[in-house]
Amino acid sequence: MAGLLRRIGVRGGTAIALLVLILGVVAIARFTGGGSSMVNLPEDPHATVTVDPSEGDDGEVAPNPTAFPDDAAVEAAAAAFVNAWLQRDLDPADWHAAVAAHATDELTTALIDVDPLGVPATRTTADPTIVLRTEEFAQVAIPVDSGRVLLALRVVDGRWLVDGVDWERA
Amino acid sequence: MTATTGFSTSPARRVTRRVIIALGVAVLSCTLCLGGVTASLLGGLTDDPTTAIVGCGTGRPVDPYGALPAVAGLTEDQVRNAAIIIKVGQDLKVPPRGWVIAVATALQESRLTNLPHLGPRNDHDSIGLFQQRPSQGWGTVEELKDPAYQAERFFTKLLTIPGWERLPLTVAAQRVQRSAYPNAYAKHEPLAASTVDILTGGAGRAAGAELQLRCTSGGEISASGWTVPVVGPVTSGFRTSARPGHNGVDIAVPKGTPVRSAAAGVVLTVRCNAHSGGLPYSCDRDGGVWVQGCGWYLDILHAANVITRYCHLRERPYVTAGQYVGPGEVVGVSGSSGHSSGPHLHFEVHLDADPSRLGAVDPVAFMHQVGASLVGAA
Repeated sequence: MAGLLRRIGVRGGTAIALLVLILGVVAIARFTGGGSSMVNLPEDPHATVTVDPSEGDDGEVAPNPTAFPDDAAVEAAAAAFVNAWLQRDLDPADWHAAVAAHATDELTTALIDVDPLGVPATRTTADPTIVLRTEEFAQVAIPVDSGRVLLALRVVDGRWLVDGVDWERA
Repeated sequence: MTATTGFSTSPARRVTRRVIIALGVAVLSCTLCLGGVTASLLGGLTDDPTTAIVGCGTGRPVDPYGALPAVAGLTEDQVRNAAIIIKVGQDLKVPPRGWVIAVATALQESRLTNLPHLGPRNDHDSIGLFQQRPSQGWGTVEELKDPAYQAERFFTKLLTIPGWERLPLTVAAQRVQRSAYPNAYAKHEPLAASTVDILTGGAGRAAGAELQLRCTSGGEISASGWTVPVVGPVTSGFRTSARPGHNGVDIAVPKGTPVRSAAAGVVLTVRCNAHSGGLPYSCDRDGGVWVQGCGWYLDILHAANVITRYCHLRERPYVTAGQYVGPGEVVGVSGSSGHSSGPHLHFEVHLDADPSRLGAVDPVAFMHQVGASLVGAA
């Protein structure tokens, strides 16, 4: 070991130290870059020129359509629900029955014990609009006097029913 | 030199040794300082403060009346109210999933503002951060003026709900609140989680049901409400140079491995997506590289318009479109249907409710941020 050190000498030692420094910096940069996975530096674009841009795509092809023939039925189901839901002066039992007529069993269960006085709006201010739609699922927005009601609907036994109620304060 | 060489301290060797030690110190301090510079540069590359959080909570009690960090989108008052809620949760030994549920609930009910009784303008007698009602037994008007009391009442009720830690956030919140808008709490989960992260050094990323804060492992649900869909190695990354069209990650798992919803949400799509030579191809058998498409797959819509996609399942997924699912709920089993050269789960994350490839982001980075790392320990 001592003989080796002597042969390397001060200059050799400096060279080795500089090499270690460079390798250290590279290692640190790699570690912090790859390890955090917060930042993905863009890959060298020239490295990909020989590869087809769609290469390696094992994902979805031919995506879902976005408009459907029964959109009007979805909007009508949403309107029927929200009109029942807004009747907060009803006797609680009547309110629950009115709302349940347009709701899935799951939503009806989630509304057990709810006091209709807590409905945070009194009237709609515009027609329902579909926000998001797939064949068997839809999200419908309905502006109300206190903000916006967002309903989730799904098909149960061929019929559109409301399955979720969200309200956003204006 | 002689046989004593190994122990000698000749002037020449002392100089060499000193030079080497000095250089060693220089190298060490340089790499440390450059490491710091690199780290701060990486932290500064993003505007979102939550991405700077890498820990899973410090475990120290939050001090609502000390200096509070800024949270994007919230005023100082709102942050203080969140801190009060978290502090009460810590004092009551509620695990961090409860803190996120409570902050999200208060965001919906009061925008994290200690609302007074609004008098005749109010439709009923709701008060405070959680809009609790004296007439419904939540406490006296005087008691309910105190945010800490309100939070204590919320947590006490939450803890009576069996399995609350594994429920979708909005379901747990609704069981406490009994509101006319049962699904309204879900949308606040991301802001509540990042608020908890910022105030606690990353407790939103911690294992949600554990009192002792630590990062998740082996399919646990984080306090933010996320979990890995399967436990396995990532064998192919997002849009690599070799696979620029790979809009997700491949996770190697044996055929038949249960695939879990990465978070609470609603199933958007359940489909067989496979073609070969322009003709439909069955998803009920193994595909191959000559087959195009995702095979049996499903899309799930989560809070903040995040969509996750699960491809190449062995058979029709166990859930139907429109169905709500909870975090970690089994939605199917892995397989090799569609464009697949062997059993694996192809997993995608999309933002802005955009299921096309334009909405896709790197699942590794996304899942790390929400405390459900796909690679190694979080």
